[in-house]
Amino acid sequence: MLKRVSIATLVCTLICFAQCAVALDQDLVTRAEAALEKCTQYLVDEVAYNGGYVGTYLEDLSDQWGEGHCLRHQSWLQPPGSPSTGQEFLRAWRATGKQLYLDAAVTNARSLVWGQLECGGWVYVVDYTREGEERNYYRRNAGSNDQKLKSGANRGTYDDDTSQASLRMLMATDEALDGQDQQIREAVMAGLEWVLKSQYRHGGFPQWYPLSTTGYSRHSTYNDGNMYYIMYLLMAAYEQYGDERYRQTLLKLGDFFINSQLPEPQPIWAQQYDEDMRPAWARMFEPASVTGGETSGVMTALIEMAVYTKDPKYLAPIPPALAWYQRSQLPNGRWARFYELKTNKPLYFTSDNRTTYRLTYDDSDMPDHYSFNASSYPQRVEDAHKAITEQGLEAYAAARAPKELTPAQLTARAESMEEAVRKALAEQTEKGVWVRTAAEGRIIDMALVQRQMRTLSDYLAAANGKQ
Amino acid sequence: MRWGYVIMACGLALRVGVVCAQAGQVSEADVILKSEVENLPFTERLSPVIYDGVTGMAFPATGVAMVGLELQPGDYTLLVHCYAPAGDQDGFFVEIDGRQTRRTAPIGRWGTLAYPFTTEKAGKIGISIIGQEPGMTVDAIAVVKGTHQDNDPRFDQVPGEMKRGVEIKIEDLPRLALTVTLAEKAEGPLTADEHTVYIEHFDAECNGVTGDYHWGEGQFGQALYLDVPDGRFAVDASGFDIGPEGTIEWWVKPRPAQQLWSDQGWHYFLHCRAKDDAGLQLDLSRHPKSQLRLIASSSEGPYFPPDKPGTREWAEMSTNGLAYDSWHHILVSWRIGEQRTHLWVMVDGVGRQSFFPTQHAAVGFSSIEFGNTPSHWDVPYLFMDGGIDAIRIQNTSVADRLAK
Repeated sequence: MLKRVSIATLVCTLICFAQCAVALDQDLVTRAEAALEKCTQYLVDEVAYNGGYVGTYLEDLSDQWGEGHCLRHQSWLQPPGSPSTGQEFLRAWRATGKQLYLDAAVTNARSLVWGQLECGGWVYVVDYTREGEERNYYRRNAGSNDQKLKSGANRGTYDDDTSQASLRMLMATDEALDGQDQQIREAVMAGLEWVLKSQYRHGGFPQWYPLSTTGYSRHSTYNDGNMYYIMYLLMAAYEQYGDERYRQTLLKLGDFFINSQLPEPQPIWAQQYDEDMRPAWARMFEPASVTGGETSGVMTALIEMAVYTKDPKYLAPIPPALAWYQRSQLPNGRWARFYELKTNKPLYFTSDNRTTYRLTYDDSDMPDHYSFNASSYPQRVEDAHKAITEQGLEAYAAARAPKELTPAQLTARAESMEEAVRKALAEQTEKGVWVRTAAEGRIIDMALVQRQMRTLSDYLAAANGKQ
Repeated sequence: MRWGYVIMACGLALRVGVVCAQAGQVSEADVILKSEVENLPFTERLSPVIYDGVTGMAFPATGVAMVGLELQPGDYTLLVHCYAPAGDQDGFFVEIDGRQTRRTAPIGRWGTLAYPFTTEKAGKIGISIIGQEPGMTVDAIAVVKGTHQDNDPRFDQVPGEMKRGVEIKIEDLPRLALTVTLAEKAEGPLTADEHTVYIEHFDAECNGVTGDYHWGEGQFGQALYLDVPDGRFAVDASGFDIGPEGTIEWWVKPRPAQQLWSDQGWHYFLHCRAKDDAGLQLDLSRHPKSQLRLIASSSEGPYFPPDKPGTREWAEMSTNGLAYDSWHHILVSWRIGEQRTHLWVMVDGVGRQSFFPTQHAAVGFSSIEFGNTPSHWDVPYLFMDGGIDAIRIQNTSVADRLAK
């Protein structure tokens, strides 16, 4: 009986899949496969340097940039830099199963292994020349007798998702290879050990580790999502490797999110904290204050922690923080980035030349390179909190979990993406990438390339019946 | 066709020539001063060293080389041919007419740093090279007319023989800053003497404390800890006889985790409020650009409105090397003479003296506040956040206590 049911199910599935397959534009599938392959081949053969990438290139590859100017023999790690491109190769591989993409991803992962510091972290740029190799002390040179290779800088950073993105790419590659590549596995383990070691006793993380003797790089910084990326990294590391230490570190970080909330009447968060968990100055235009800018991000992280652990303690800080938003709205309908401790007065800066900043209550003459009037009401946080309150944590978490799609749903997904795929195909250059016009001329913007690759991969995954 | 090439070539050559002539162009007539640093009229604690075959003078942290010049109104550039052996041996200060700038020498190579400046009226100015990170090396300096950039011109492109210019005696300079040290470093608790107008050791609770604060262990017995964000300690100074000269000294220990001595933020240590608008107002604060700076101004406030040329003078010193977990002795002193006003700011017995033409009246202070932005200004808190201990205020300047 069981056998008969199984056969019947299989037959139904096959029929259903066949029907679905009929509904797809097979020519478009073939063209999407070819476009993704062409793009990858060009990136691997022409654009990459030692397997690594930067953020943008002139179309003729005669110049390139990350956050600033980069040299041809450098890669840039902060998203949408090198590891983000690597992740798209892995996505293409999962969608199609083709070796070309896995090879491209592994090559990219090896470039990250090359650029991993001896401490286990990464800095923004990897320079593959000998001169560059001497500038940093890389893990690969730990056994070298050449002192020049061991005397460079050896301090990794969490700033701008640099080390986190690199580790995520290595972990994803390690998973794709079933942990069979020893070099990549060891790099992942060294990187995660660096993460464990760098946590402060209060649960936060510095921007750079090992700690510098001075400066704001020691502070635990919410700006640019530094600690949320660490949170997601630790969640992924525990899920992938099951090491209890990753979970404990994650929970300690969750405690930092809770404990760094300031008391009433300002129950929100500061942008950065010192080792005593007190609000601290960072750059000259980032005062010790509470921030309407980063508070929204901390509350989002708290909801993620609550969903992940199913522990409601992470939700308790949210209502008073939302109440603060409601009573701190400015007459212009917005919120200031910084509010003074205790008085709750909005803080701004004036600057004559970007080197001299004066802290002021006056918003009439702010510099334009930084958002001093940036935040809006965190409606999404309020909505999520309301939904959790109404549904309960378990039900909310279950509703958010990814659902396995039926073949028909996958086909529908593929069909819904056809217009975007046709657009991507139409805009692909002869060489296989996507360009846009900027002040420098026509540039290969890797964020755009990654987005188009993602469109093609997601489409092919759905067309191939993959979740 | 051939003529076309010739014309194009000539045009190109002409453009190249013009560009070359513009880049760093200095004629011999434009050179006011060109001198090996060891030949300047005043040098202290420099030692010779050779890098890449060039002999220079290495500066210790207390090293100084000075020259005085008499200049006409116009634009000038000081060129400093220098070399840094390593990244932690490259910092130094250049002071021109009492205005100090921190720069870093090129690491592992000789380079020419340029400091453009303008003189509004004919007169005497002092130029100093002041050490900061031991090992920074200077070969020679030049002062030339016009505004130039780093390595444009390089020092070897400055024409003519070495020349000394019109030198002025240091005592004739209207404005100058010097490194100074106390003959006897303050070690024990400060005691009252005949010059003392106020002393407070915080061993018992006292008046004048506002905002968030707590009591804790001090340098000597108990100390007052001014906390984030609004802790302050104010002294009523209206009865103190400290107009023409005086000295305020006390111990501080900013909360170590804050790392105030190298922090990127702005932190106030002291505000002396003048009794009237013409009187001298003193403010001591630390900012990453200005370091620890003692500002002398009128009662308009150094915070707002923005700087007005000629109304403010200061003495400043670096605090980057100070330990975070120690108490430090801070000394602020002033003397208002008929011609010149002197300021001193010192930490642990070492610091800077600055003098400039007198422009503030010696009327004394109505209040002296420690540890935050002044309470009567409507400006954000810029807290010191940490302990203060053993305050002493005297009605004499520190001049007689300096090492000779």
